[in-house]
Amino acid sequence: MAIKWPDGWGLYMMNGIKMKPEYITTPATEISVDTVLAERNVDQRRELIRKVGVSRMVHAGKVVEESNGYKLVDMAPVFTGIPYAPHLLMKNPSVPDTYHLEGVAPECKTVQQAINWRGGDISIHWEPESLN
Amino acid sequence: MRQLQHGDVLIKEVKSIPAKATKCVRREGKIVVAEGEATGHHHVIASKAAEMFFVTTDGHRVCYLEVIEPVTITHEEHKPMTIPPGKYAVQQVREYNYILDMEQRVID
Repeated sequence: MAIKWPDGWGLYMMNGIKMKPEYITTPATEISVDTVLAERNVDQRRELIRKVGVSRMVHAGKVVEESNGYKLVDMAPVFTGIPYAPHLLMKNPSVPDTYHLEGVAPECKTVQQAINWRGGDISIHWEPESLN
Repeated sequence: MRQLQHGDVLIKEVKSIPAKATKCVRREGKIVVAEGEATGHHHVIASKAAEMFFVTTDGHRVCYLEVIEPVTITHEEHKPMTIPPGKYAVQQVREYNYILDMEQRVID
């Protein structure tokens, strides 16, 4: 616990991000990949990836394509009954040595399609001149 | 058309802002471009050289930015970024949730 009041209430934090208590109290090796992917908040998910290790996340899936520092990873082995579950692995441009792993639609077969889809339209090339 | 991205906020240049758009109210003098729902971190423009507008259609809100002079957008976790003068639509990155089998906007 990052801070605890006399009545027992407190905050669990990782690198400035408020986390669920179980994310802090559970050893990294006991946090499953699907638990990480199920976390709805991307900042908390980023911190979980930092905790469990990005390589463990990637090894749970299959790299489809690697381009310009991005990886398109099929995380289908983590889910039941889903034949293809592409996720985009990307380095956070602002927070050093941290990564985001975010699901993209099943129609995304390449890194660029995944980037475009995240930007709103798979058919429109998304390449921002400034990305922070 | 210019494309900018500040974290999960997409800033896309547009030709015009709909005439029916309503000007957003500043918070403590600042434009809150996007709010962090869990972290409390916000994407903010402090300058008076920009205004934000919104249009609500079928319950869906679309936001726009009009920038008169270069302004800086800031966020607790992202490097500051300069937005050149222009008119922009403001959107949010989306992701696909394979557990819920649905797309959703990224939240932080």
